[in-house]
Amino acid sequence: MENVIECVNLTHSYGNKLIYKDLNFSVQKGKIFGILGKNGMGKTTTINILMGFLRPTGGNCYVLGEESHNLAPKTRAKIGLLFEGHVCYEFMTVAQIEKFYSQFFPNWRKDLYFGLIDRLGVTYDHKISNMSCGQRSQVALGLIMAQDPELMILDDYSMGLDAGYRMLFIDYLIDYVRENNKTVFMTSHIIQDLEQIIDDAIIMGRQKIILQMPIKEFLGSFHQYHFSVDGRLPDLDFDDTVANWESLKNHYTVYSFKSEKDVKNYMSNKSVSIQDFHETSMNLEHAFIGLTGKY
Amino acid sequence: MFKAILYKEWLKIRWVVLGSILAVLGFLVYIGLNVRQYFEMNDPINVWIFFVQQKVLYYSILKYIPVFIAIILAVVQFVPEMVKKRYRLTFHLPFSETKSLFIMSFIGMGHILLVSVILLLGLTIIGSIYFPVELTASSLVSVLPWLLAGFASYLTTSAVVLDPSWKYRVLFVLFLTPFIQSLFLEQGYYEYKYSIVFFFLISLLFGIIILFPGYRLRKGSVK
Repeated sequence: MENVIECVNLTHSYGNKLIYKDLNFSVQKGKIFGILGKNGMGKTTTINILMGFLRPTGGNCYVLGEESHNLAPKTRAKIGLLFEGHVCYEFMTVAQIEKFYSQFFPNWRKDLYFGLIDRLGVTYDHKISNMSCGQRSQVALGLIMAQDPELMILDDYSMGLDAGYRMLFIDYLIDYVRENNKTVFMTSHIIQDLEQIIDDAIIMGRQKIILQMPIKEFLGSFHQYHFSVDGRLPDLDFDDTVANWESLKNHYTVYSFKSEKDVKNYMSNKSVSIQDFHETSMNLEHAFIGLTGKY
Repeated sequence: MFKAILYKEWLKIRWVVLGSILAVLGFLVYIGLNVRQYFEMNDPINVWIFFVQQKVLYYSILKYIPVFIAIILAVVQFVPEMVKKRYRLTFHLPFSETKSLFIMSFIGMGHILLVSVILLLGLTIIGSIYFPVELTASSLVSVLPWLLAGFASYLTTSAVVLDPSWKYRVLFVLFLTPFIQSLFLEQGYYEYKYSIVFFFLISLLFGIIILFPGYRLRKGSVK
């Protein structure tokens, strides 16, 4: 399947501070791809590289077949960008901003933009700077949808949105993307929301990608096991069996891609008596924290 | 697409455009009334001594007006692009970023040109009413460096506002303001008569300054 985004040995550092080294990932056409990671792991850096506002210090990043930092204007027309905080020309009104953007894009879908605006119940002469963050998010989404891009890059769409506007944003986005077979590369600090949207994800750790796989596969294969021990278990190593672990007094939680049987066997080899071994299900947020740790 | 960029810039600067035109017209009316008052209150010979021999420029109130308008215009035009890094919106448009920047700055300079033309026309009208042609012509030549300073100040302020690096902002101010200051050194009429062409040619170089911060913004100053 055709790759819309392809990053090869992507490396970036700010001065001497290495953000990450040799990242490799690709995004297939028609997929909704999420980039997950805790603060400071390089999500925004990656987004800025993909958006073409940052030249990587090493490796290559191709968006729609062109180097991301050197996109031709006609390629930029095929990419819709949503900036963190739903940045737009706030000195314009709802109608003025539509009039401005419509002149740049040949396939402009005026109906999509005003359809979304009409839902907000604001007048077309409403100045964007006087709108709430939630209303502004709808304006920004409406503009991107009207642009009819092949690829949408959404940087933390959920920032500043209450639950209602987050839901509204997601509902419109999913409907639009599925109906029009668009590719989306997105990030959000509300990981819970992404569970119902994204197909594939990469999870970024310190200076590297910890995991890249379809989200359903991740949730199906990553487990959370709880047990208690008599006394205290020696510190566990991170290996093929233990992806992460945490403890509170003599209660332990182990995160693993292995089956219950494998983990039980692994623990029994530690020569400690294990009680009440059981698995609990996880949503994406739990699984993400389980894999990356709370700290 | 040119029309779209023109539209966006107009939305940003329309009040400055309107306000500055009204202000310039107001200053011109004030100068005209002031000169008339001198002629009505004094003997013509004393007026001549005052304005010509003592080198009191009757339009000196205009000296810093072009610079003042230019700085406000550049701030109003480019600060909104920098707040929340909105320049990313402009640079992502399917249009050459160099052309975008040039169009934006040409629009700003177009307004300064309009202000300059109004000032020159106003002074020509006032001069033709009260003074001989020679004095009117000299007043127009004397005001040219101030107008040129308006263009240079606009481009310098634009570059300072647009540049993502404080180091370059300081460098722009340090290197470019002495040139602008040198356009205000006159003590009487006609003093830039021969050097104004030289100053004009240097001012043309200011036109490309805006490309440097533009390039840095586009190619990787986002952190």
